[in-house]
Amino acid sequence: MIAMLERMIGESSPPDLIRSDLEGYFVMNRARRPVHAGGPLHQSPSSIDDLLKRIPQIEYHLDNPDKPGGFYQLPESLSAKSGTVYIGPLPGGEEFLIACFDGGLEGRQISRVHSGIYFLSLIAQTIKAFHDADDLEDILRIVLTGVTAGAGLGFNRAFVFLTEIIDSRLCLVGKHAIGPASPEEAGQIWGKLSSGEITLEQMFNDLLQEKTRGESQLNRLIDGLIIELDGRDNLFAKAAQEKKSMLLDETVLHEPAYRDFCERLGSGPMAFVPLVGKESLQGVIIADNHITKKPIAKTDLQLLDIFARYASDSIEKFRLYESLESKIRDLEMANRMIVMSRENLLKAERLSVLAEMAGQVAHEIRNPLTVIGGFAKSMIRKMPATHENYENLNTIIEQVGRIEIALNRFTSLVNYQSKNDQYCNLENLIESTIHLRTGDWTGRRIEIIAKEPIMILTDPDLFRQALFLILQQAGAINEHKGKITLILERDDNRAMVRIESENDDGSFAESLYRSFTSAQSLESTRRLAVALEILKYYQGNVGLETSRSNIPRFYIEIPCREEVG
Amino acid sequence: MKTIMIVDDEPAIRKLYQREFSEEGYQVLLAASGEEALQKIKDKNDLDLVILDIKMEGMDGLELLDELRSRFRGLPVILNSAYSTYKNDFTSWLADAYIVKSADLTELREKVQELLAV
Repeated sequence: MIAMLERMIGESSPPDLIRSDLEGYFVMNRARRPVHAGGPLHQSPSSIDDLLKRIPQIEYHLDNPDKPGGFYQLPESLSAKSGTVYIGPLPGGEEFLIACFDGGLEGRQISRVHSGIYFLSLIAQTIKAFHDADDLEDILRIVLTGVTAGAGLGFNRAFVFLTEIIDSRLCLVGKHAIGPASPEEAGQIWGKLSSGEITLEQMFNDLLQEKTRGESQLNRLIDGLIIELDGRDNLFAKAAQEKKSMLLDETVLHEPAYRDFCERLGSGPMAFVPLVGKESLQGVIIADNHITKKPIAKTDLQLLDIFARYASDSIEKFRLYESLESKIRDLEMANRMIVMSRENLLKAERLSVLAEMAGQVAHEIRNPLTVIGGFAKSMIRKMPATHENYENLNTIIEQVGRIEIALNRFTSLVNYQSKNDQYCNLENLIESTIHLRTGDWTGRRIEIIAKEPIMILTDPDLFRQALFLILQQAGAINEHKGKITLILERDDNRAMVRIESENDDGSFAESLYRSFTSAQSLESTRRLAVALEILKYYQGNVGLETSRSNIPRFYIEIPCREEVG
Repeated sequence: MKTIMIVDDEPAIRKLYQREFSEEGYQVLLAASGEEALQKIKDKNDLDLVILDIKMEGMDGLELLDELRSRFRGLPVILNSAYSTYKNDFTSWLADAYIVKSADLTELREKVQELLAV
């Protein structure tokens, strides 16, 4: 608040509100202690007590913070020249402004002082509303309400655009709009404000309690409106990047580049003010007097600029907070995943141990059961049904059968095979599959042509099983036809393993592909089905394609995966 | 007469299978380990089919299977184990069949008939 006051009435003040005849000013709190002071006059009184004694009206206002400020003649004892002093509470009623002016103030100057104090009040109420806001949407609506409310900056309509990166380009994206959509609606709102039915504070409260939320016609106007800032030599980009306010009107908006903007929002005049946070450009406020057609004065633009500086800080804080919240959510999710993975790993380890034990138990039980039951069956086959032991043997066979069924159920429950997915070099996987001790392939010529290193994410043992089965089938089909070549290539994000047979006229590839649905024996159908299941589990498949020479070619495909971290 | 070799380290199992398949009309050879089986099979023509246990001391059934595949291509081999989990081991898929041991020998008997009929 003090900085605000400094900006308004100090030497660097852009708006010429109070400054013209100002001699000096104090800001004092209710405990009669000076909080801030500026200008030559403030050095004159020997002490605060002296000041209070010489200007008795100060005590009156300190005791009555609800009373509006007033103008009084400056006592001669304080200044050789005749002067005027303004004494009044600053917004919030905890601090008081005592401003001394040279000579008597005219009506226009008094009006300026009142405007300045009013603007301070707007800022104070806006900041208070920011504190009560729950999210960025609240902040944006407060900002726009402050810009448009009659008791605020008094623009007819206001739009806020925020910066976003779209396709690696910095853009302004239309986010919120506030204002009446028509003169009739404007009349209703401003009528309420001027008649005192609703105050700015109430408007903020209503807004925060979600009484006035909803899709307005103006919001639809800017929905999807994007202004590119990167690499564009246009007004918006220049002003936003230079963080400079400006007035937009027909003279600058007639270019075709602004057609979409003008079709939606009109061609001005409108105020364009950047929202510059401590770290970076956050967006812009665009405001106009579309309904009343009141010209936008230089002072209006300057006040909007000051207002935007306060809004920028809050917007930046909330956006940082939201981004932080999102990162925290991601971290929490990652943490939950780690905990779940750890639990799953423990479960898998326990199950794995159980499965091994169950296998051993099954083996120990199944062998004697096979012997007992097998001999019982062998004996009963040669025994007449009238034999005294026939019934007893039958009971043994039945009970052995029951135990076997229970044993099968038990082992199927604990037949657990954990997967060990890892990033694997496809060429290495294929080589290790071929070099497995598989007597069937002894003497076979299998060549690998790897055009580039390709990584896949898979359980190496499972993948080798799938590949082994497919190559086994390929070997069986190609039994006397010569060399088999495996060509490894990357096709976009797919790893392709093309299997070719020397001098193939197409029948090898077709036969291999058909094997997956109509293999010659049930056993090989089952095995190829297993191979396909493994491939599909890793989003892979097998297929038939036509080569450049129009000969069908068999391929295995699986997604390429680059190792993360 | 077709010749079958039973390779199992459990004497009672060997005895049971010998009795069953002899009664079926096969000539039955027995081996208590992988090493003993390899010693007994000098030539592919010595026998027509092998019934092979997996879990054995010394050379296990899967190792023997690999050896049989490289030495005697085309010799039918049935893996017959008390373990069902070896079905997941792709080395076991080199065999012509995998049958879990059971007191009911019907499945094993039928598979032998099927493979020897080819």
